[in-house]
Amino acid sequence: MSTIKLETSDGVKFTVKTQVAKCSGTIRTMLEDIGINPQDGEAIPLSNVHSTILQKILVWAEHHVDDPEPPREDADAAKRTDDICSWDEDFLKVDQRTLFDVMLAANYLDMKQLIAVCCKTVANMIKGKTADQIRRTFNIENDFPPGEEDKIRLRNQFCEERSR
Amino acid sequence: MSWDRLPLEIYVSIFKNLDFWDRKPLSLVCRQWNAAVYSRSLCRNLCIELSRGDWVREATGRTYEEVKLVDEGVVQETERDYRVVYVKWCKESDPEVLGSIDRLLRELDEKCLLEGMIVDAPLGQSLIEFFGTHADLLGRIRKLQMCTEATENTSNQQVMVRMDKLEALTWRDIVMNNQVQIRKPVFLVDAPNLKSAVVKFGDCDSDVGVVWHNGLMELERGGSLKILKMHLNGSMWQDFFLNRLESLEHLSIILQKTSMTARDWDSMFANLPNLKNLQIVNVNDLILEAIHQHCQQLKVLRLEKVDLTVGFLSVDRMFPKLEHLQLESGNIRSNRNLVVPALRRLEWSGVKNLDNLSLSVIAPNLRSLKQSKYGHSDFIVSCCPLLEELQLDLFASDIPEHFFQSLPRLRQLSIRISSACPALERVLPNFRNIEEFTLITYNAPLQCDILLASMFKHCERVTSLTMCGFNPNLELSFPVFAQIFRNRLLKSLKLFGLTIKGNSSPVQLPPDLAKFELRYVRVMDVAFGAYVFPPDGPFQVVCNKSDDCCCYFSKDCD
Repeated sequence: MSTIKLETSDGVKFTVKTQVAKCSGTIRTMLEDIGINPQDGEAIPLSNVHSTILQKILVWAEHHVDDPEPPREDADAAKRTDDICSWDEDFLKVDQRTLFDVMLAANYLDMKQLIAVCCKTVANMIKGKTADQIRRTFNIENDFPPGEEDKIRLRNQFCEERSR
Repeated sequence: MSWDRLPLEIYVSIFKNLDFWDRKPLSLVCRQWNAAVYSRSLCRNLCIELSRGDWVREATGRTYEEVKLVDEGVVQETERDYRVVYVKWCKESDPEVLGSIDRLLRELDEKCLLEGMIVDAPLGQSLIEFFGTHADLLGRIRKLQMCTEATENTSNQQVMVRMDKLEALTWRDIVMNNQVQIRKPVFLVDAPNLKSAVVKFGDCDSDVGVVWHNGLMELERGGSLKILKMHLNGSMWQDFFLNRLESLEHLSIILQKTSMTARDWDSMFANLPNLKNLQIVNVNDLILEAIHQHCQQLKVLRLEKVDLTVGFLSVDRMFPKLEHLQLESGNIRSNRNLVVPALRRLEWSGVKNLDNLSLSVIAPNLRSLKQSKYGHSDFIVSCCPLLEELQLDLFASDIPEHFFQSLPRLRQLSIRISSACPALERVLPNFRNIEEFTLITYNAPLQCDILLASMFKHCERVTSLTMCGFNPNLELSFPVFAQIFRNRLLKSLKLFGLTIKGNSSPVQLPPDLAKFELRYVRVMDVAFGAYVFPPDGPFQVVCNKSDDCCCYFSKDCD
């Protein structure tokens, strides 16, 4: 079985099954379109991903390597966040920092399914909270100039999303 | 790590899991989130309400609707990418309110690239003037949604509204009482690029609670129209259907009993040569005759409230390209053939055949059949070797004749039984290759031992089994129940409303069982009930217990 090497930002090299590595759209493009030849033995540099995070992501990719292509997303489909499979749910039972890094790395590596479950997990953390609670949960600073919040509240009052 | 400095596409991926109402408060978290929440990729149709109706209740108990205007500052310094504008006023609104709406709308139009407009207003001079004042904007928008209400007789005035860019129009007329007479439409909409139009009376999609009238709006032309859905009453829109509607592919009509003659219908459908999808509520022989004559391209035909008792089906008929036929409620009279060589899906519910013999449906390519049977010989499908999916609703104990043929391709079988006890085990040998079996009973005391025993004997590929009994429960004896678990292929098992009798003993779950749900399952042998299922399977057990349900332990079961 063919393998390739990946090198993370902290200089750690991983040997990975090609098929697993191709869960990443970024790596797939490098191999197929740009024509990087994995036989050269040279590692593909992933300058935005730390080894601890890549390790975690590879566990996920190994588990999901045989998943079928997800169906095309329907913009009007009912929004669900309760359809995370239990394996993924356990996988993402991590501290916020790790979840954050996995999500960013998945974005960099272009792994749509992993991004989707990470974002659903974050959405579940957001749901039902007030702005203040969200700021505390995610340690976000309130950077609005004075008076701006009142203006946003006013705008929100007369703002709607219309499907038509 | 900072959650307020993420790339926009990640915010979009997170926020799109929440609906608009859950997203709104997020705009108050920080500036970055505020920008992301209302970004165009999340809200393609962000709508600003320039005015809105609020219901006020006086101390006396009287309620009335008050129009509230948006704060001016919101329009003046708007930073959001609004594409749709909503305006509303009432019959009682004074001219100042209307003046403010006009002014705010003009200001908004300068700031935003408006694509759509929603107007909720009473029919009258104010609405006619509104159309005149904003003719320029109306000429630029692509979507218009109107809701207008007539409370008194309309004038004889007729106004032409020209909308060059309009692609989608929804027009909802509400007439408050039967006394309102509409002689001719007040608005003539001239929209040369219109693709889709929906014309409704009242609030709902059906004709329930609708006050029928002649329509406040008519389309001047329909040459570009692809989709038209409407309530059609009496003599309305007669000139319109004299136009040739070459592009029209999808037509949906809820019809009020009309005085239209065979000739009227004939000339109407002669102008719709490319119709592919047609739905009619209240359909009779004359209409279907015209459809059959002219609409050769028809693929989907859905007929509700049918009355086909005097002619159309008294000879053999053929629809050569029809792929999906739905007949719902009403009567037919026929013992002839209906030839539908391309038909893949047939839905037949509540349509009664008044003839003593059956209508013969010849559909050799049928893949999916949904049938509700009330106990008379409605129709038979003589030969359907390709059938894959069957949903059968039985209200009487006799099983339709056409299921006593071998159906080797059938994969999904779903049977609903109400107030009847059919001997289903007689037909199961014909359904050898089913993979999914669903049985639902209402008011039908059903002892399922023989049925299941027949299924175990004849159907060896079942991977999904669902059984529901409502009032009363389905009944099974324990040995037959235990046999379910011996099917090692089983992936999904759902049991709702089931009473299991007899001495019980522990069962082993099939290895691939991924979905396992029990609700209101009573094991009468309570002493052993606790040990029937292994306590901590890797599967998810969902369990709602009724009071006397057996108790057993599982991490997901409270």
